[in-house]
Amino acid sequence: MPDGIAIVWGVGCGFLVAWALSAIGTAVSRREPGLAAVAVLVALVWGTVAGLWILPAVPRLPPHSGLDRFLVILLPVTLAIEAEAAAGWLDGFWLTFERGIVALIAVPVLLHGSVWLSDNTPTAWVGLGGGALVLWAAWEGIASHVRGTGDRLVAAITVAAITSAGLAIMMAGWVRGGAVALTLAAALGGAVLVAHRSAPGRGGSQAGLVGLSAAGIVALFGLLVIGRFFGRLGSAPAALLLMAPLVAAIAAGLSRFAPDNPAAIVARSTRYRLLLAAVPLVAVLIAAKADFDTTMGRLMERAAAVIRP
Amino acid sequence: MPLVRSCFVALLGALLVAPLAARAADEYAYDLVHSSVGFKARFLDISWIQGRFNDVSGTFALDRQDPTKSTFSLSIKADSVDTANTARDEHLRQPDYFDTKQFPTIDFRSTAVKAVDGGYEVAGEFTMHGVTKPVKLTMVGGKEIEAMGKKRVGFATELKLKRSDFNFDKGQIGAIGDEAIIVIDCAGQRD
Repeated sequence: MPDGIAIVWGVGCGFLVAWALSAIGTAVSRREPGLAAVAVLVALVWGTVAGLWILPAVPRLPPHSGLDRFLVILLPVTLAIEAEAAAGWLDGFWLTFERGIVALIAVPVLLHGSVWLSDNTPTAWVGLGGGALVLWAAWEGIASHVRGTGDRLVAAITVAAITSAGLAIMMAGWVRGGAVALTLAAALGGAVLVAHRSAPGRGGSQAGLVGLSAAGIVALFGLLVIGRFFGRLGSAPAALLLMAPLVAAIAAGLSRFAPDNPAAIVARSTRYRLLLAAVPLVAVLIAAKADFDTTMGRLMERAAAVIRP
Repeated sequence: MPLVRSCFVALLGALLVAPLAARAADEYAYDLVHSSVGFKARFLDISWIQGRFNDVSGTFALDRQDPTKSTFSLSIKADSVDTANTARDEHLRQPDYFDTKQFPTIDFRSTAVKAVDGGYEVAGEFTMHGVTKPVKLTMVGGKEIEAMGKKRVGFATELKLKRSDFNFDKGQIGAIGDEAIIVIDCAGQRD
């Protein structure tokens, strides 16, 4: 279980490596937008690896737990698909098809071998189908929204949502899971920062942002699934955390149908969408802190009471 | 006709001997009320943290004539961990420690048994946190008594293990030491 200082080092290292590699990659491939987009995704991978190595929370091989399967299977496959899409090697039907396949197998892979898949009941199958549908809709929706609009806010909100998920998972008692989420959020944040600066309107391509936003939403979903089913993260907080980037995207997307409507102008505004996304994140963190104070916090207080005279 | 008679005699013999053979190994069910599976691990290398598992099941079959045919099995629900501190128990159930939703049980199955002075030496496979390792237990006890309308037998044993051998996260091994001791005091009963 990583301690506080190790988590700060891991998060810092993840951010710096992802930021530096993204900056170098986009600078080197400035005239190749597709290559620059792949570079920020590769930077995300190396930032995450560096952060996990520092923590230390390197996944065990062969994968031993839900978190290992998330890091070794789901995340690399997602990043590979998004890299193919960013490079222009994959689009249209086949891109949707590959995302659909990954969405379909994501939850069974994460829950493989656990008590959750031991019951072959209709409820379990409905849950798996529902999870696949939610992931596929969120993944496709976010990717097509960012690709169509060049929206730069969704990726940033996804970083905030993954950070909140990490804190909530950690406060619920799973320190390693939370630390991994924070490291991933930091690496994603580093890459997003560079992709923001080279996004459309700043003379760059949005392909990097599309890939990062899409990979971010899958990462958020995966972390919430393992936090919910292996940790103590509740269903309602998990749903609220997933909603945060989605509502920001939906608000902007819906406002496009009536662009001159005053309500649409408000819905499109960055400030309004930030507020819309911040509400569920803050609510989850307040609830997680309250839960921590009544459960895990008491354990730590008791230990401190023993140590202090 | 002699062939039919031989078959009849063999069948009769089998029917008579079968119950005796079945009775050769006495099968006991784990008596949860009068048993305990506890554990302890070092805290900061200055003291011991103790706990127990409240949900345990198992059987043991004792063959008094041929102890090598005896078998022992034990299954512990990892979710039932109890260290007299609810918050710590919640933490122990999570993936930082036992990961009870991924690895719901801790199991022991004997593979070889031999009688020793005062009990049995039992070799078997111990599975915890998804990893199976061969272990050897010295089960002290085994004397059968009759009480409260049942035939009862009891054993006591201890198992020392390293958590790192069972794929627990090495990052967790710090304040709580690597070595853990599992203390099994079990009673079995049969009609």
